[in-house]
Amino acid sequence: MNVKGEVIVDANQIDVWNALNDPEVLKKATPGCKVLNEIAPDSYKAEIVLGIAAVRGEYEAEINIFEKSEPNRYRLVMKADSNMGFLEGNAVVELDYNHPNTTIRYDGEAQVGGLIAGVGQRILSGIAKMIVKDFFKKIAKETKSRSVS
Amino acid sequence: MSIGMSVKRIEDPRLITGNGQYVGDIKLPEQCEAVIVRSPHAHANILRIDTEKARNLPDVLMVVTGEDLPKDLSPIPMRLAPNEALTKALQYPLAKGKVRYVGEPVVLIVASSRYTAEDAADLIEVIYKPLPPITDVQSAIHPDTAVLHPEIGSNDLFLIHSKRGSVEEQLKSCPYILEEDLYVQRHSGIPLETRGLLAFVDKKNRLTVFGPTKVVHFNHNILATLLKKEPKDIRFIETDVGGGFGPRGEFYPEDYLIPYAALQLGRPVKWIEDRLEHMKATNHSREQKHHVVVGFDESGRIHALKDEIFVDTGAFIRTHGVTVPVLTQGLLPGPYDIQALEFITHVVATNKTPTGTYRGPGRFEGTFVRERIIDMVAKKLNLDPTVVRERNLIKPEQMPYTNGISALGQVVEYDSGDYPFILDAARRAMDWDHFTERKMQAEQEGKLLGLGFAMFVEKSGLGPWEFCEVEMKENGELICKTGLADVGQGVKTALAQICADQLGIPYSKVTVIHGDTDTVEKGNGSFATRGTVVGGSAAWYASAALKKKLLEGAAAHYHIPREELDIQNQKIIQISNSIELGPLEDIVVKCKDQGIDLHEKYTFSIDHMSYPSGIHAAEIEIDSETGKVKIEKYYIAYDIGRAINPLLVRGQLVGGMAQGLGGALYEELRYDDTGQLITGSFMDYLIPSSMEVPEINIEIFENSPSPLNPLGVKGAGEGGTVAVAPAIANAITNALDKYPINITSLPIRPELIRDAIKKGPVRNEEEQT
Repeated sequence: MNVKGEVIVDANQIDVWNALNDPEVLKKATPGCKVLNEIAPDSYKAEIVLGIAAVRGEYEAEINIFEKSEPNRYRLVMKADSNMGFLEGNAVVELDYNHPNTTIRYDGEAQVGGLIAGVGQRILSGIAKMIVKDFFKKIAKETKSRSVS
Repeated sequence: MSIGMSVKRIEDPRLITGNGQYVGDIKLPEQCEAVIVRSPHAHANILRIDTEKARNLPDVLMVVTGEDLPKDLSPIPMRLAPNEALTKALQYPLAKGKVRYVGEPVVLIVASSRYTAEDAADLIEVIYKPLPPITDVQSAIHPDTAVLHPEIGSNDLFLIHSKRGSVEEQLKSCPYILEEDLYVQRHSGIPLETRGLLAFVDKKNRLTVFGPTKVVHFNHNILATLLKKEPKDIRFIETDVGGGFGPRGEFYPEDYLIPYAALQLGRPVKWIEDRLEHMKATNHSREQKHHVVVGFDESGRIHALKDEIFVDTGAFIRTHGVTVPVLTQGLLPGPYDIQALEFITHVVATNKTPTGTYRGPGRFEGTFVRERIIDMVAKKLNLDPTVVRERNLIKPEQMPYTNGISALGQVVEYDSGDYPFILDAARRAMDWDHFTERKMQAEQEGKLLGLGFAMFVEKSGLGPWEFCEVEMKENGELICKTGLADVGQGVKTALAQICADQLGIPYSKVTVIHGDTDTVEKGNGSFATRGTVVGGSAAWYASAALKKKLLEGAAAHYHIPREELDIQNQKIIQISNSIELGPLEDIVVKCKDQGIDLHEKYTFSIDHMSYPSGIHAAEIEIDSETGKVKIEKYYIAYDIGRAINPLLVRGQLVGGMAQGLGGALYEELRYDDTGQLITGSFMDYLIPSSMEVPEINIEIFENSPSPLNPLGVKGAGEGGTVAVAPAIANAITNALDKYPINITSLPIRPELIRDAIKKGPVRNEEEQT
């Protein structure tokens, strides 16, 4: 399924870029993220607990950042496994500064497999869009609070 | 006389008072339970399976991967329509190295309870390397696509090519040619009770399995072969089942795994399929793409029919081999006399659940295609579709009629049938002559009314043989042992009526025993609408032989020649003067006293199927706001030669229609383009309920008894299902004849209808094109 959207952040582009590359911010922004460790540059392992309907469960996730073009763009690839099945996401994240705001644009594909694909399909795209939107909204919030502090 | 009576089912009192025994009801001491870990990927290499954590969980008794199974284990063989070329695409009970569909069994876990086994399943770690999934037939046969079964060399696993006459030649002289693509969606039988098995080993290491059904003796042999055991060392016991419909009762991976686990552990092992796994583990069916070319003249007479068919058979060939595709071909011409036929079927492998038969296999698909085509021809010529049907029907005087196409090892030869009579009956019952007026009247009231017809020929009575053993007890009760299985169709009642009719006793005095390989010496089982035809004939002849013995005893007793005696109402009768000579019971006792064994066996063999025929008609109203289809009137006429029990026949037709309706409007096992089944629960897989299934007006005809069996019967099991989709589709296109709609695929969704209505009526010149 396609996941696409944008979030406007009241901060400059460098601050947003830094936030998007900061494990602490990523951890806070990722819904249900209990643990997030950087295992190599631009490579993270996370434990995520989701409590939303069909995707409820504990996930072990691997997050990798590719095609970095600071401070404008990167590709975020996420894979998460659980006993209920798997989730995979692959999105291009782009920043666009237009004083005084920075727009985060994301455009990607999400995939689900196993049990969650079979039983929750009707609501999955809604959930995926909500989770991703939520993630970037939290990035925005974190960036703002950091740039204020 | 007991045959032909609508007597109540002898199965029912036990079942409706809660005394049925399903496999889930059976509990044995020391019983443990199995859970199967299935692939979440449509296509992937298995890099590693880590089972250690699961093994270490307390009360886990066994964890088995494909690598742990015997090295020389064979794959699950084909039961029907076997073919050497396809043996390379058979499935092993557990995946080895690679998974090919979501739901493929990867690990078997046995624990002291289901609870623990489920917990252990969570601890299994399988590392997959996903491969590109193949989710439709077109991409499967593309030269750049990976081959799922390299030994076969192509995903186009098997080609079936049948011809009669020359389509090319006929088309040259046809003034009209119509070309169309049609599609029937993947769906399957959904029994109320999911599959289940319970296997145990006794002290002599003899294996007993509860839960097999449908083809008990056949599966018994398959298991013996796979386990490399003597059949006598295995006992299969059929339990009650909550619905068969085709998919239930075939030999699946679990049918090997559960007995295997019981043998390894020396403890009873039970497995009950849950609904979510049922949707992806049990056979799917039906998915076919058709490309049809039909040549006809201005009168609507069809001279040539060509169909290239792509069957999405899923990831493996299962027990049905190519049964479904050959049946599509064999009965595709239906009740029509078409000079030139050519059918080319590709059996194509994809990364989806493997497929098998489902009530009306191959014919649900073919009937939809053919009966839609007939209406399209009528529309093109602006003719009454029932007239087009009439002009193409095989005439009664052409019987027996062969269409020249082979199916299941025999050339299709319709044994008898009066098709024009059936068509007339439907036109009368639906008041077709006045329909146009009704439709116009409805239109004035703002309603969209439509009426559609769909004719069909069914097959029944597949051989090669069936077995029956009868024994008269001293109290006058009859024991009838049959090789058939009880999948809810009323087999006990029908056989009891047949034996009772032959022996002049009430059907309630007959006890039918089936499905225990220790008690019934052989059998082919209940499938392909064969039970009453083949098993019923075996019961008829076995009872006839027993009757002969009884009358010989009576002849000696009364000093009257046997030929002058008969049994009626449990009494010995002298035929010439209808005098009752005495009770049957006396003769039974005399025979026993004289050491006469009142016990007969009969194996009835038959090498040709019999062909019942019928029609469905639907009058529907469409809600122009929502596109919802409301069935106002539904009619089925079915000539089955002879109805042993019209009540059972009606039950078959009503239940069958409900399933056909599911296939027409609701049910779809849909996959996304990564090979994930996205309709895996009843939230998304819609089945019709009592709210959707209409009252059905049924006429059972006995005009064309089969000359191929002593009862004249033709089976009634599948005719309720096969023609629902085209009858409704034709009714919808009739209701929307002013709108731009051409129904060529199933299920027919309200959005398709609504969309056509929103586009508005087409202008006349557009209609001409």
